[in-house]
Amino acid sequence: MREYAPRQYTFSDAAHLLRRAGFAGGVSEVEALQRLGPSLAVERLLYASTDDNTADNPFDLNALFLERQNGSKANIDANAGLSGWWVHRLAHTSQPLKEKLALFWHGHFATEAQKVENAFAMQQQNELFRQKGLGRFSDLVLEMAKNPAMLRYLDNNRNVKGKPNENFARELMELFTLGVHGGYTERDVQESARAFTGWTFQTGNPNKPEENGRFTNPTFVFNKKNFDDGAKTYLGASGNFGGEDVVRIVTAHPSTPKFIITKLWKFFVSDTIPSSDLAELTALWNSSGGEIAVLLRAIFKSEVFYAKANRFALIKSPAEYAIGMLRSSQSRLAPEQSLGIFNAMRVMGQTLFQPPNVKGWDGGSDWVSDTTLLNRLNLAGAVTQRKLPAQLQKDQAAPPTVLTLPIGSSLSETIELLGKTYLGEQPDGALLRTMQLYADGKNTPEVARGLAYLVLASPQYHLA
Amino acid sequence: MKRRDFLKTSFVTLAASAGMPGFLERTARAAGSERGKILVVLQLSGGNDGLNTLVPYSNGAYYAARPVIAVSKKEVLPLSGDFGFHPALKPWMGLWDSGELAVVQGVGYPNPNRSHFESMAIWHSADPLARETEGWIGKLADRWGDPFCATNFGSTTPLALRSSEVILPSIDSVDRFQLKLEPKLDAAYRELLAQPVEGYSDKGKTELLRKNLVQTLGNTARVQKSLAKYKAGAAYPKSGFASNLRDVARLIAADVGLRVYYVSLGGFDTHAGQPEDHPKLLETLSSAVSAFRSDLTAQGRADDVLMLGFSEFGRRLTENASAGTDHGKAGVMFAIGKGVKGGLHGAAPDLEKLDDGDPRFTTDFRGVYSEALDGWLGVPSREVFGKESFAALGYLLR
Repeated sequence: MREYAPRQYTFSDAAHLLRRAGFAGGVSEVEALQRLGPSLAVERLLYASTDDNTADNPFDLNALFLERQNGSKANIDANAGLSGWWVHRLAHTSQPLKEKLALFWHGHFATEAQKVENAFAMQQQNELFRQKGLGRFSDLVLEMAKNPAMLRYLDNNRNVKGKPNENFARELMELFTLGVHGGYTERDVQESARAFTGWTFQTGNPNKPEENGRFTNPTFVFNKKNFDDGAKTYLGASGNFGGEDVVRIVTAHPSTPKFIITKLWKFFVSDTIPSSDLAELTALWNSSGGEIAVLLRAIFKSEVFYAKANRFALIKSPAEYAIGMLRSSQSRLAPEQSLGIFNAMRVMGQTLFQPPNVKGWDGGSDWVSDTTLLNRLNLAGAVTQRKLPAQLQKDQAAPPTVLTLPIGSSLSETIELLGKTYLGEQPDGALLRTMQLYADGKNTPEVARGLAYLVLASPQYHLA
Repeated sequence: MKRRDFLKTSFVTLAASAGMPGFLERTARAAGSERGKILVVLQLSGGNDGLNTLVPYSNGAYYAARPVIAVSKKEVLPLSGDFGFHPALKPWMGLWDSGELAVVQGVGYPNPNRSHFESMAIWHSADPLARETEGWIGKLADRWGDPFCATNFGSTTPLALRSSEVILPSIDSVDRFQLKLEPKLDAAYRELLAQPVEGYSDKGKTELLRKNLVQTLGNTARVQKSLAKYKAGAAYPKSGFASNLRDVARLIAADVGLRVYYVSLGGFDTHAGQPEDHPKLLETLSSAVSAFRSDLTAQGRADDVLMLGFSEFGRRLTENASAGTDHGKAGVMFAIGKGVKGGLHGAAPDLEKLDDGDPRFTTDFRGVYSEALDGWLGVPSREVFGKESFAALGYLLR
């Protein structure tokens, strides 16, 4: 794909990159990427440091559990702790692409905390998305097949010789690799279910910490006596296959790169991938052994990624909408604020660790409904208006967060700053006219809050 | 200009510019607010096990295939000599006895699909070939020309309530269904939305968002205006599903003009531990529906409401090793209301003539939908389902 090589890499170019490869950012963060230019900016985002600058995360599951053990009434339960932990990371990380990709994989290998009923297992799975999300896709699939949260979620811990449980085997093909029209049969479901028999996990005692004071993370167990060692035919190949073989065969099937690349494109670039780009990215997939970093590097450096038609072309997810406005304002969240943002995202249609089902979030126009839009507007109102409507004050969904807003020395400077901060562009057209009419020549903090609302609630701001 | 006048004018402006082409023009012709018949669709997501809902308690094949999870003859609430309800459906026995509950057996469609998502899409679009991209209620909305004739409960609108012309609303809670801003900012924001988007951003999507925002504000105004009229007529059990039905009762009592309501209850994907989970789900379902039914009587609207329940598929006859059941084919539907001819309808699947281990369907679900359209909502079903026609099962009173 042709690389993007503009004469001048603009602020709005860099803002576009950060909106897509991360969750937007403050003016200084965008300017830092702008200075690097289109190629180094992508390398910076892909740079795999283990430190994401969130060591101060106030949500420590182990501590929360210990507190409960010691009889003190912890005011945050495990699942809320898990949610706060991720919101804190999303809002403060210095590795935004890793978090964005973790959210992508969470939606892809969708797993619901409510069924798993083990916050440690959910956190362990989530960390895998960060650690392995940029690597080879086949490695990630194998990790997921052996992941305790996934094994529990799709009932593979109950999948035993003689009485196979097909849940994981089916979704592995339909949703994780080939796609529903990817060319497999009911027979392939049944045969591969047999290959995963005996794949299960063990947990530590969730109510009792180990001697070192830590709760044990659940671990994968291969229970050989429950494994069906018989011959199987799977996607045209035959053998006494086990789970590893199935993962190897299914990830090498040509439908897999097509399905995954198309999904990445929809998440990061636009609704439809042109066939020439699909072909080039498939070639890259094949030459790199399906390495996700290689694909993302090519996508984010390409000219087509920056094409005019692909700017403001994706409907923001609730995470992009809520986390984006916080990051652009460079807000620091107190623990109760992180929980407030989690709730705000929930009523906008995206509950972290609780996707609607195993298919994850469909995204796109699915984010749009009366209720989700209304809850977006109410969030924008809550974070910009000091006086919350009485109704919202009682409502858990309204986070007790108020954005720090940029105010210029003149009204026009304030309008310019608000546009630059939240849209990466100057407000124009109807938005500019309405802002000017509303301000009526005044440049007070009160007016700035109203102006910020108009930007955050504007049709433009709902798009990335 | 007084605030009220300002709002009035901006609503006119909004309506004029909200134009989904050809749509609002038809809205003008659409039926007014006369008390019409109302359909409440209840979706049981995940694949409800029909065989443990309507239990074939005289059938040896049923007990042979389900040594662990079968509902014993002793526990069944008998409806006939061969079939009975799961005991968790006890709250429904009153409705059954008064002849207001119809159960349709063996419901499915040709070439069954065992994927949740494919099968759900088939039920939503009423197209077994899954080629149709519009929902059956979305098409109704097109025909009525009213973007507020039906609503979903929940945060996102399912395919059933979408068409190429309209995304019908989703309401998660009627109390929260409002935007509150101080008047000056509220007015400015409505003014912003009244103007088409121009400038740098992709016009198509931004315009789509703007139109949706305009429609949202219009819908919230319509709902909030009428809510005060409701006085609770029944005590509802505590569940999200029950509070959704309570909201439906409030909107029906307030006569907001909605003709179809869509409410979902999830969790029916009982691959494991079915004896613990499935009864809880059936209890949640039946107790909420029964409270809703009492409330409708208190509101004086019981005669006007038909409830129609479905799930995307039934489950396999033979239980698995995890005391659960895997995805199957034919399932059961139910219809509840004073307009219903109570009893069992359709033919029960032959449990000794299975389709790859699953009960075979005997009744096409589109026939059940059709009867509700023709016989209840008064919409010729062929306008929604096209050429294919289905004989009425007779679960509605003539």
